[in-house]
Amino acid sequence: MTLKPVIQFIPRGRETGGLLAWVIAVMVYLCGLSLAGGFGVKNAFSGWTGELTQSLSIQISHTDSAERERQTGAALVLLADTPGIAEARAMTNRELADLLEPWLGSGNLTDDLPVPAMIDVTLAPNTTIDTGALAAHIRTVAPDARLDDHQQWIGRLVDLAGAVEWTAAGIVLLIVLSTIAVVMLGTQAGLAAHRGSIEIMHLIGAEDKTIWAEFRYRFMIHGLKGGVIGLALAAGTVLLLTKLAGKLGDGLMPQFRLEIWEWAILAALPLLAALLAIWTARLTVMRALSKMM
Amino acid sequence: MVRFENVGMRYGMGGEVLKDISLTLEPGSFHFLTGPSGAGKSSLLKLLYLAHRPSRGLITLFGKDIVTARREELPALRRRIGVVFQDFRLFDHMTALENIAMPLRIAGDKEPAILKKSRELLDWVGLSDRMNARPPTLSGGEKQRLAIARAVIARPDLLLADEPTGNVDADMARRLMHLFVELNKIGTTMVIATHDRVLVDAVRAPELRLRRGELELGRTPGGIPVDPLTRMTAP
Repeated sequence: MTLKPVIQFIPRGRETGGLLAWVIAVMVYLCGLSLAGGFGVKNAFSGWTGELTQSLSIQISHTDSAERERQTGAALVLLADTPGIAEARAMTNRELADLLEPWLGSGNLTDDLPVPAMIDVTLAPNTTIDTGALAAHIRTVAPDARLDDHQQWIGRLVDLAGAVEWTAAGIVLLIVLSTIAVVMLGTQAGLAAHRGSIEIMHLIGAEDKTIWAEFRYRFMIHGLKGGVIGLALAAGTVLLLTKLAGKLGDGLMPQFRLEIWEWAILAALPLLAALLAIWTARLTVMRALSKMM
Repeated sequence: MVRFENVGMRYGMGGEVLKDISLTLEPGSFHFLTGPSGAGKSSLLKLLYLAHRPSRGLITLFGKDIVTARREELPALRRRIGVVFQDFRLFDHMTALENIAMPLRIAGDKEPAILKKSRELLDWVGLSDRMNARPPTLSGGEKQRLAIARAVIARPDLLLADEPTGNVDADMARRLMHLFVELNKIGTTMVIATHDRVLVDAVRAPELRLRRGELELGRTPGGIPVDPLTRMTAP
C-alpha cells in the first residue's frame, strides 16, 4: 500500500479539513496531559505505598522523658530480636523537630514540650509481619507504644490513585470519542465539498478504494500533523509543570516519573491519532460511497 | 450489448419518470435519443451509464444483469462506457491533458502510454496547443471536445452523449457529430441524446424517441417505424 494516492483528483491546497489538524492537535494535547497525569500519579502513589508497606512507625507517648526513653530502649531491644525486621532506629530530636516544623515553625520546639519518641522500623524485603501480634508484644515492654503500619494511609492512597487513574481513562475515552465525531464531521464536509469530483471519478469507473486513497492520505497527514503538534505542546506543558513542582522542594510533591512503556504510549500518540483519523474517515467515506450506485 | 425489458425508474418516492422501456442496442449501432424536455432522456442515460438503478424491469449490459449485479462489479462495466455529460463535468483544477488522462489512470495504464495516448487524442480533437490549459480558460467548444476526448480515450464499447452539441455553434456541432460517426465506424456503440433535429436528420441514424417517460417507436434512417426491442419494422 503506497501512502500517497496514485490518482489525485482533489485540488491540493483547497481541501477542507485544514482545521482538522488543529482540532486533532488539541485532542492529542488533552489526551497527552491526561495520560501523563494518570501515569505520573499512578507511579507516585505506587512509590509511596511501596515505601509505606516496607516500614512501620512506633510512637511512644509519655510525659515523663525518663520513662519515655526507658520504653524506647526496651522496644528497640525487643525489635532487634524480632525476625523480619531489618532495622529499628529511634529518631533523633533533630529529625522530630524537622517533622514538626511545618506545624510549629522553625525553632519553636521547646525542651519542655513532651514530644513523643518515634521509632522508625524498616522491614526486611518481602517480609510480612503480623502487626497486631507485634504491637501486643511491644506493649509488654513499652506500655505506651502505639504501632502505626500506615494501613489507613495506604488504603486512602490506593483509593485516590484508583480514582485518578479511572478519571484519566475516562477523559481519554471522551477525547477519543470526540475525535471520532470531529473526524466524521470533517470527512462529511470533505465529501460534500468534493462531491462533484467524486461523482465524476465514480462514473468514469474509479473503484471505491481509489477514491478512498485520496482521503486516506489527507487524513493521515492531518492526524500526524495534529498529533505531533499536540504531543509537543503536551510535552512542553508536562516539563513546565514538573519544573514548577520541583521548585516546591523535596517531600512536598512526589517526583514525576514515567515508565518506558508509558513514554512509548505518549510518543505513539501522533501515530495513534493518525490511525484513528484514518479509521474513522474510512468508515465515513465508504458508507457515503456505498450509497452511490 | 444493451437490453432493457419493461424498465421503470423513479426518483425516491416520486412518480415514474420512465415507464415500460424495452429496447435493444446491438454492438456497433448508432442511435439518437430524442424527445421533448422532461421526457426522460437524461434519466434513460443515467440508467445506461450506471448512475441509477431501475425501480423495476431488467437491464442487461455487456451480458451482465445490472439489477442483480454487486456494487463491486460496476466499476469494471463503467470503464467500458464513455460518457459526454451535458455540463462536461471536467476537473477544473486539472489541465486538459490531466483531464483526458484520468480514465486511463483509473484503468491502471502505465504513465508513458497514458501521456502518449492523451497527447495523440488532444491533437485529434484539435486541442494540442491547449494541453496545459485548465477548463475554466477554455471556450465552450474546447470544453466540449475535451469532454468527448475523455469519454473516448479508453476506447469504450459504448459511448453516451447528453446534448453534446448543446453548447456549440452549428459548425462545431457538425464537426463533433462527424467525430461521433467516425468513432461509430471503428466499432463504438453510440447513443446520443439531442434536441437538434438538423443533426438527427443529417446523420440519418435510428431514433429512440421518448415521450412522457415512454419509448415511442423509433424510425429507420428511411423514416420507417422500428420496434426498439425487436428491431423489426412496425406493421
